[in-house]
Amino acid sequence: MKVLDFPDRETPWGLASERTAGEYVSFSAISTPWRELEFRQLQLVWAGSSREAELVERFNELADTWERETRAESFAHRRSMHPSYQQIIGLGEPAIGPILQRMRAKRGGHWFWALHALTGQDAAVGLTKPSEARNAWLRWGVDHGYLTPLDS
Amino acid sequence: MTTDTSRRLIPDPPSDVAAEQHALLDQLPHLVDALYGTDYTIESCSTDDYNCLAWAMGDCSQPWSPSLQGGYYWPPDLVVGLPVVEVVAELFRRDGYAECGDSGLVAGAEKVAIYADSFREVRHVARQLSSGWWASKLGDLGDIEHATLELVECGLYGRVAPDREILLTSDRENSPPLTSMSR
Repeated sequence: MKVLDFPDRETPWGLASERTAGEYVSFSAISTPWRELEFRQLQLVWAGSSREAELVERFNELADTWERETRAESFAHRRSMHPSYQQIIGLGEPAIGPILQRMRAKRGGHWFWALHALTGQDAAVGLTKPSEARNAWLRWGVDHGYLTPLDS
Repeated sequence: MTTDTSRRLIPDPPSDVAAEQHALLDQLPHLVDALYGTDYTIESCSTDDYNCLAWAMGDCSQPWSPSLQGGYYWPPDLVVGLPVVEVVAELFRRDGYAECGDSGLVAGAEKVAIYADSFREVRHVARQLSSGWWASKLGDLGDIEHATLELVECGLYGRVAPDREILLTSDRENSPPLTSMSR
């Protein structure tokens, strides 16, 4: 039995039109305008997380290609000019978190150019070793809410 | 910005270094086609601690790259942006090198070779060892030894122009083969 005229589309909790009265008891207990508002908010949250998942998936595809095709390059500027790297920069601010997470997970990666382009800052200014520069950027990521500190 | 050094920022290193060496062996032929079936040996694991230019300059502590961002070393009085042959050759001249024009082994002298593309953008640098072979650091991959300069000439690294891009110094002895060096 359908209790609400939800659009018949896939949601993280299944097809909206297949929900039953029992499952929507909490919705039924509140007035219709508020119920509708709450559902709209849920839709927005779901749409937002879906877009985020798509972006992370796209980022990982591009980053895998970039790493595979530039590992033997000698200089930073040639790595940074790779089409996949440029597309990652084109993803804009939402790419900062995935870049920092990948840099931490893989303990590597020449992401300094992209992070500089995306943030307008250089957290590693004056540092000449990649490991030190990565640490500086990871600290920056923690301080700016893009990363959580690991448990010690 | 707060810099609480007590927080751990990077996970522990992967333990399986051997797996990385296998990955390097697997990738090399695809990256440097010229090395197929030829004389070369792999002498180290992948690392981005230094690059080919740093290796040729005798510095394994930091990559040398004309970058505007932190994470690389570049002499502050040299042009940043593209590493063209003239700029990289100037780096070696400051270190006592001069153009010499051929790749033959000279006792008591060390040679470096600059690989460039047709636009004179430097793509790779190699250093001669006391055996007469050449040592190359391949990007973030490991160091290799190769019998001739031509073995590493390819689309990725360009080629060496013998008249201008081989430099020699008598201020420095050739390094021994990498297998006898500790890293």
